[in-house]
Amino acid sequence: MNWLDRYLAAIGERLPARQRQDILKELRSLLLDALDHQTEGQAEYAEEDILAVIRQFGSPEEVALRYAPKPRYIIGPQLYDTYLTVTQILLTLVAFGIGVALVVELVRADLSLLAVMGQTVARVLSAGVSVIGWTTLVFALIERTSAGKYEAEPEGSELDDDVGNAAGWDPKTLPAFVSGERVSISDQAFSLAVAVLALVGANYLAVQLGIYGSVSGELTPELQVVNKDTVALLLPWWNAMWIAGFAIDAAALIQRRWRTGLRIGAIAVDIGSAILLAVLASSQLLLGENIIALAGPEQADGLATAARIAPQALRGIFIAAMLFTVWDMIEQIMALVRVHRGRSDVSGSTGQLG
Amino acid sequence: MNEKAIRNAELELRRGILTLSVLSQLQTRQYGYSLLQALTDHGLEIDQNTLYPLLRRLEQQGFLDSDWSVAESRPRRYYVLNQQGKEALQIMLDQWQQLVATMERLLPMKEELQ
Repeated sequence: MNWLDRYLAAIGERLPARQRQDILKELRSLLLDALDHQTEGQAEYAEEDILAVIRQFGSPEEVALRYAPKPRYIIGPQLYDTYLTVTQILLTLVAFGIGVALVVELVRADLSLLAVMGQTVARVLSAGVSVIGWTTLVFALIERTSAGKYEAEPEGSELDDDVGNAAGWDPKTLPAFVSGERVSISDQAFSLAVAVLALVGANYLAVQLGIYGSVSGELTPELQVVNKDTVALLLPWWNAMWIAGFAIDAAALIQRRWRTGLRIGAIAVDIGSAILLAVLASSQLLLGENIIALAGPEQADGLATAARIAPQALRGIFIAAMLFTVWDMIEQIMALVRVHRGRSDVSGSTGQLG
Repeated sequence: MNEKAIRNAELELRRGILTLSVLSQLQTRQYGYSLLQALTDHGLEIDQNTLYPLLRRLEQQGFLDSDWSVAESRPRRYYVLNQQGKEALQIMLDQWQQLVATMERLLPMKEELQ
């Protein structure tokens, strides 16, 4: 096999099968023309002449790339921002999940602190890598299959046409910039995760522990920590609050902007939630009758102690959640005030310009 | 002085005229190597790795027709402007003349640069 054949074979390996034969046929012809020029029409080609011509043409990788430019990126500029946003949301959700698991494991007495910490580090690494890997894979597939994909121009021009076509865009659609309206993606993702957890926790776990147990009678009385009548009374309110909160957070995330209406909605949900949590914290409504009975003075064993501590622990959780909600509400109100102050500043400055 | 940036700017400037240069020489049919020679003879140095893929791309874009000629010592692919290519050349030529006129008004004389 001579140098020319070896060279063409090496290029051919890197070309798409569909065009391979055609490109190689043309390249061979071009190489021989260059060789004729190099040897000034001699019938025999010397080895050094062949190698010199091949050297001028360049490495097989380079030649193949010029003929069949492949996208040399995983995710193109059109998808890049969305890719970053989605990755950020997913990482936040994963971080939240790992945080919840960490708290649960820390509370469990049978696990050593070291084991829990080790497991958490392993989880952060594996889940983080998985999320980034899978998101990248999905986006890479979208990049390579979508009809309107970004086409790599080998000449490296026409970026304007590909990325943002100026025609048909009106600068008047630009949103007025007001600092308090900015939506933090990770904050919103965190809120959404909390809402899902609160909904699932209340509906699934409470029903499992309380209503289900007392209705079927399969659970022993001491496991009944939730009063089914109370759950039946409060659950619709609880659900309404968290679903409304979820919807508002999702809307803010999708619009990437806290509009005044959404803010007011969020404040209303916060007020409702705070009242609900205050009711829960100030009463023993949520604890099942059996546990309350168990906590009586005549019971001295471990179960009674647990039954006595449980209401206090629950009350602590409700109070903490209530304070958190009130704090969120104050933040929302402050942001609303900031937005309106910002608005009047903006209109003031445009007035001066006009 | 940032020599790489200057080199890139220079390449960018040359890149813009390549298509026009190639189309201008293909009113008569030529094969790759003869076109390379024609451009070089006129003072336009162009890399083989740039020119040959560019010819294929211009054909794909519908500006050139090509055919294999076996009349000579070895088979060669010849390229020539088709109707659409002629129209494209006309448009680019107009654009080029406007650019030259604009740039002449815009650019300082070399002696003014001192």
